[in-house]
Amino acid sequence: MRNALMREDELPIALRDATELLRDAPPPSDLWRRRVLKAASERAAPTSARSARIRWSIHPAAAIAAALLFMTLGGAGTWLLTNAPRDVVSVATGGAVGGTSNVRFSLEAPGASSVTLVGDFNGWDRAGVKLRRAGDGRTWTVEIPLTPGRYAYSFVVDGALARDPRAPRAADDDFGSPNSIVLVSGS
Amino acid sequence: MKHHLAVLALLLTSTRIAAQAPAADFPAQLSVDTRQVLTRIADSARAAKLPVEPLVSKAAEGVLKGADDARIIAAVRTLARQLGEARAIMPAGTGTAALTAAASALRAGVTAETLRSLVEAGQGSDAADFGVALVTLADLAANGVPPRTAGDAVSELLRRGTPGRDLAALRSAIAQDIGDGIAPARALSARLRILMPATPTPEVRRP
Repeated sequence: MRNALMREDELPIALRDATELLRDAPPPSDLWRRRVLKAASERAAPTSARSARIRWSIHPAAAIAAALLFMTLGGAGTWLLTNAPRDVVSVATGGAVGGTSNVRFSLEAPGASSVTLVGDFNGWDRAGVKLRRAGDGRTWTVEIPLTPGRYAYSFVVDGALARDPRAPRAADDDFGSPNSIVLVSGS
Repeated sequence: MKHHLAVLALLLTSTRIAAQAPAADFPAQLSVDTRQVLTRIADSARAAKLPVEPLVSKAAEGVLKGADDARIIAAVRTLARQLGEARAIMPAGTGTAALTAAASALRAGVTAETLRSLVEAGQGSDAADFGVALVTLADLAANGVPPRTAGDAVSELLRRGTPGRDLAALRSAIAQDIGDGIAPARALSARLRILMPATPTPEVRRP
């Protein structure tokens, strides 16, 4: 998803000019911000299985066309092209109320031969939860059921700890290897 | 009579055993001495009505990361102290996750005063929304947003009745921005303009 949006310096000159115009567009409407925030939650990763089922992929041309449309309708396209949370991570929402949510964790580690997940939820057991390599050969994913709460976690890539680069880091780095934080909301 | 006393004694003993919380299960990889020290810390925490699970988890994390016993003890002791500080600030009945987030916020440089302001702003809020607000504050501060600025922003959002889902989205979006190289305070400002378009964003203040 993140790579589906074209980098600005890769855009044709005419479209680059359009994005410049969009930058000065007026602030978005209340309806628009609601939609954006909803989309941010649904695209979050680690993410609940429910939201993971609804994953969108935007072609660069479609994204630009959408931006132009928004400019016409009220100027909110600026935010889409320049600031939108494209592949927002590390928040899991929308799980079953009062129960567990299936939370998806993913990491891009193209050269790795094994990736596991360790954290508060498994007592930091080194055996961890094994991630599976996805079809693209680069991304490793796993889904685990978690009850609502806040969890510190880390990946173990070929035996070495690795923080989730796309998630908020934990404040308490007591052991020289910072953790990431996932928030699982029950509502 | 003797029989009755024996039964009473047995009942009292059973009740007392049942009332005792289970011993904290610190990792077996730690030395016996270290586990004894940690157990004493956990017992003190339990006596102060603090959750013990985060302490056990912290010790396990230290073991996984190859920390020596002294470092693990120090980390567990620090966490117990911060949980105690958080407990003194947070409303009664605050759950373990929220309490841990509050302790984490303190660790990230959020002051007790800022936490109290958040508690005040969250009065009347849904407990789940308040919990998300707390985690949001802790994570923003931990990721470089000036703690007081983060506190002012999250408190204001709570006062406005911003639902937890929006706060969670804000937290994620800012983390993403920071990951993309945007300065933390600027990331917060930009995102707040989306959430609170009609309001000037809080000034960046010294923590």
